[in-house]
Amino acid sequence: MNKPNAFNTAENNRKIMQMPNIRIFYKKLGRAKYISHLDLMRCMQRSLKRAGIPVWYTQGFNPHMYMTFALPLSLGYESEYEIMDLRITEEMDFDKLKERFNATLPPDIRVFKVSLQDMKPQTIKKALYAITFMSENANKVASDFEAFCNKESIVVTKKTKKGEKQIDIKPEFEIKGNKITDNGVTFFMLFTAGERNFNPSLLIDLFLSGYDKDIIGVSVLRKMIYNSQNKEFI
Amino acid sequence: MVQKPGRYVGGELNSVIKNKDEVKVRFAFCFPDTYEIGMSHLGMKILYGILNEKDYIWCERVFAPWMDMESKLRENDIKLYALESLDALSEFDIIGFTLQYELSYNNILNMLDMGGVAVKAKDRKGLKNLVVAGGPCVCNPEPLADFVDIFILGEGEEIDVELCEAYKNAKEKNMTKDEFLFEAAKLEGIYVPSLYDVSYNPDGTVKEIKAKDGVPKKVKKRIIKDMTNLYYPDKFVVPFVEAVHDRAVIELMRGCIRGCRFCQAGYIYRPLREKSHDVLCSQGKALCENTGYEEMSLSSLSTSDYSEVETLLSDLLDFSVENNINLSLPSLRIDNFSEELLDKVKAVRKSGLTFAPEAGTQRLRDVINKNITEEDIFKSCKIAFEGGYTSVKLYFMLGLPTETMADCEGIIDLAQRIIGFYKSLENRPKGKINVTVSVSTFVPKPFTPFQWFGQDELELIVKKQHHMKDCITSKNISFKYHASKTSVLEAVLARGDRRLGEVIYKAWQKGCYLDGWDEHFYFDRWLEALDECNLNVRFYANRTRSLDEVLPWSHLDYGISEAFLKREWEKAQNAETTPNCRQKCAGCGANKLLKNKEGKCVE
Repeated sequence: MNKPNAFNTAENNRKIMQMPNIRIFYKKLGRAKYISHLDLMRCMQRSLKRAGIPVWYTQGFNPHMYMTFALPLSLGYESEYEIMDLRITEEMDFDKLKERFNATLPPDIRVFKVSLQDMKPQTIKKALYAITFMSENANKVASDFEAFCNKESIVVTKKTKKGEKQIDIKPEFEIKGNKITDNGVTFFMLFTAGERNFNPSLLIDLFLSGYDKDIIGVSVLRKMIYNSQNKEFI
Repeated sequence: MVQKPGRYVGGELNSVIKNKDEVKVRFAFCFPDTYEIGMSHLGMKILYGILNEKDYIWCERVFAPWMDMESKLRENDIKLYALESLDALSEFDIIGFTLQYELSYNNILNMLDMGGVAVKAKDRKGLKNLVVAGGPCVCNPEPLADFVDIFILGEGEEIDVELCEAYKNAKEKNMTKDEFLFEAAKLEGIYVPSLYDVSYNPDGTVKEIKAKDGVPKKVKKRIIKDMTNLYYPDKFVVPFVEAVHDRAVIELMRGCIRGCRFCQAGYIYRPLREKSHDVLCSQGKALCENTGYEEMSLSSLSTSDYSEVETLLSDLLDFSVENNINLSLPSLRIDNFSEELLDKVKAVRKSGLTFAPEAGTQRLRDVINKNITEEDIFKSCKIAFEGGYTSVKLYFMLGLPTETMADCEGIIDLAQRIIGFYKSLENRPKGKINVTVSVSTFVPKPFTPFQWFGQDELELIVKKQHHMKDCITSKNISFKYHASKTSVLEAVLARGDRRLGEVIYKAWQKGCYLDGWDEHFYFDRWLEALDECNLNVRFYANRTRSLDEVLPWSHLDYGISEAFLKREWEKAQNAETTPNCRQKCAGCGANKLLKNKEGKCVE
């Protein structure tokens, strides 16, 4: 097992603090979509611990594993592009880190890249989602949803810490295309993300509430995260 | 939307996946309560591990869904399923329940029904879907005799595997269910209720319990004789959703030397058997490594009585500091610890101090044989206060035998004197002292010296609670008590007979299950069900039984002799105490369960 305390001398700590964060890129698919963000953090912590990765612990009164998530994912969504930052107390080969971490993660959570942190989480501006409406009448659903999205303004109720707020979500998303498949239609859509964050469910729920036809289910998959220069977030 | 869907999807770390075509016995281990409760249960982790060690068995987990999930399942015609294969309960050979709490009985009916399995034993004709049950409440399983095919008495590590083995053979030989039940009844620890006939006296008490030819007249519980060499899982299934107890656990010992007369666990788990401390340390370390847990706790009935407690704690504390693990300690008798160990304990112990004097006066504590004196309490309080703690929790029971209003007042008086003591200390910590007094209602249980005693009527309990509240003069006391209707039902079921089967069935049909959850507890429906069966609460809960009455569980043998329990009951009424097992053997009879140790329980 890792023994973080052995490395927690003040000098070592300063060194660690000067190093950039290590960025873990992972996918969260299948059954893992039912793991809430809070539960995910616990799961990550335990997997890291089992993997024996020398993760840095915060040095406060109640030391805990230092770990931040760039853009938390809603419960029920899948994602091909999730990001978690952490620090380690001794050098470790990134491929080895990836391999050891994957060996202890649940099968539906897979790390696909480990690197140093490049962009700051604050620069996140947009996220690309694949939203699938399961239906036997895909063409009809596709044109209805498109028509719904093309309205002048789409006012949704957004819950914030201060209470509920009426917001026009129209400027906050963009349809990038769609694809008819065997079990329905998938829309590829960009939503404002990051510090101003808009959850696709705001739009989907409003659409569904006025639409009782043919939709068996909806699934949401996050494909990519972009920064303010429309670059892939790395 | 279903709340906390992570409870229903499985896929947790260390859950066991096998190929169903390659196993001979599929075992559904059902916990008749929610996922968070069930996943906290140590017994399930042990048995899950031990059964899955066998190639021919695949043991999976099933929990009671919360109401939101239940309605989704029923709406969409999906049967209750196990979390590993996601197969319906009806696909399983053996469906095993653990009986931890009387108020979870009705969840068994509901889970069977949701899983597509007939609720009553007589309606399940084949060998498949054999319903078995184990756990502490099996010491009086009579109320569930209509629903369960086989009860397993005592500790399951050996007998559960033996039962699966016998089942496998029965399956290969194409035995009928009846043939198999008759065979199984010959195994020690197996009780097949359908092979015993119960007759009643005109006053409703049991007249006779008669075993059919060829099955034992008395069914004896099973115990593990050697704890140190016993299988213990080196990994736990690690849930995504936070369980109530979500951490590594090591089991120090089984049994308890104390003999508190109200405590069923103190009798049915006898005799005391300890695990050696080095085995415990390595089991704890392995668990932390294989689960990634950052917290470890110790399981036993009374950790202070573990004979190597100082060495164990010292080793575990060193390990936990080195590896960023929180060692969560139970309330310990800290008054005779060394300075060094006390400092180590203080470093990890963040919560306040907890005591369970159970009764407010020394007289009543002698009645219940609760070996804790005021001197002990004040001595530990002094250490704690001087160490910087300002909060004390005290646990009590109401409705104990021979209890008077003076005993109830004694509870509040004790709390007020602790506050006075705190204020009298010159080197007391800054801050406000808080004493929490928490009272529950006593439920008499089988195989204790109080098994004959009638529970206080509900009105009397409420009167006592209100009187205590009126006695409080200090603002530093928080008084916690609870509507006791659940304790009434618990008392009915704990000492009930087979006639309650119909009551349970009717109550379930009226929507009674998840009874352990206040928001889903409907006492009036239970009363209706009792009434419809011409039975009542008084007969089961409040009536003090005569010593010569045939008790519904008198055909079950937990190693404790009835003569001993009667002696203890007599002594209780005279407020006479019994020394603990290490001081002097009280002759309970449990030593006979340890034939290999020449009947010696403790060194």
